[in-house]
Amino acid sequence: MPNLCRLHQLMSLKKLNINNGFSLIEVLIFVSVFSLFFVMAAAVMTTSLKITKQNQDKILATHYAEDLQEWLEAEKNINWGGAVCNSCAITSKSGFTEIITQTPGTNSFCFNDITLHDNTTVNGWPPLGVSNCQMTMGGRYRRIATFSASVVDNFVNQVNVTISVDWMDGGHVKSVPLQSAFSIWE
Amino acid sequence: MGIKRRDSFTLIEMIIVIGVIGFALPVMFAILFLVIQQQSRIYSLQIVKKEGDFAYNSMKTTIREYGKMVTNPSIFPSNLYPSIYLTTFPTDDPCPILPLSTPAPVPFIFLYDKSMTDFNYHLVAGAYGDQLASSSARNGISGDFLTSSNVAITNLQFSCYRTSQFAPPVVSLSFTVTKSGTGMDLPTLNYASRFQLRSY
Repeated sequence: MPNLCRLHQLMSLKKLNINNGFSLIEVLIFVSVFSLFFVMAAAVMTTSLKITKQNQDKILATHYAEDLQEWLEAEKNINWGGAVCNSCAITSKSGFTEIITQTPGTNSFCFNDITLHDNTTVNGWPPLGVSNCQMTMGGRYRRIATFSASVVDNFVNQVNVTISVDWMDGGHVKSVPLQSAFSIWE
Repeated sequence: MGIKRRDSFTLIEMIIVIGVIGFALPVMFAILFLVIQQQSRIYSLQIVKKEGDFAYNSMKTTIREYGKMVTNPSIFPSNLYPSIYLTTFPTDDPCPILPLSTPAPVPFIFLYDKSMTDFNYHLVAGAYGDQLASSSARNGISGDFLTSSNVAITNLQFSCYRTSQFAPPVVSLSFTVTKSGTGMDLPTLNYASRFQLRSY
């Protein structure tokens, strides 16, 4: 009888112990699930933050690219020219085709100037070449237009242009390209 | 005593747990706040781009396709119904021939289409800044808004010139769209274009 009572006591003690504390494995599982949840939540938030930032950059870059495309379209409509520039002198009277063919092999322009549409100037082309094209436009962008003219009988019948707006994002160069073709239908 | 101690947490355990939670929660909320701030910024930028694109495309297409001549009303904005018709060409023409004189930008434009129906674009003061509006007296339209009160329009400028006496006028327009309201860095976009009138 005393033995049985002792056994009962032991069992109830053991039961009490199990109910009151956590075992190591339970704590480990709980902590790992909990930390996994927090790590994933933080990862989702930072990724979402990064993507919205990228989207914001893209919206601005697209706007800058479209802005330059509009300007080039106006240049093409108003001041096409048509001739190929064979070591000619570029003046304020020079047309679109003469400006883009002024130096064979070099056909990129740096359009970082944000006041592209100055109402008082007509010929607002930047100097040829992109060696000094820093990411200064709007604080972090660079806008380059590369032209290629298809020439028939010393006259330009079509100009293909690739506008590229670039910016740095986490050590990588991101870019919004925009391609267009200009031609005179007459 | 031994059982009691195993039942509850010690002070040092509680301090560590509260410390960890007190560190983790502010970090989480800071990230959450940054996400919300960035979202609202991109939402504002989208509104600015949407409104700006619409006003820009609407003005550009309408002026380019329907505008026949540009007029220069003597009184603005009290006279929304201009009585100036181009009777003596080109002395009434507000579009000078380049490069004889430089065009002076104005914050409004009045045009006539082929059937001498007038239409114009100008700014109207709204509750949260200027809004772009369009009017046409002959069509009975007065102050139709092109932009909502979500954005404010500034630096609206129109000018026109000709490359030669009988060339169609080249109209240039530019304006700046800013998100209305108060805040640190409200998104701003500049719009500008030049184009030749096609119905000339």
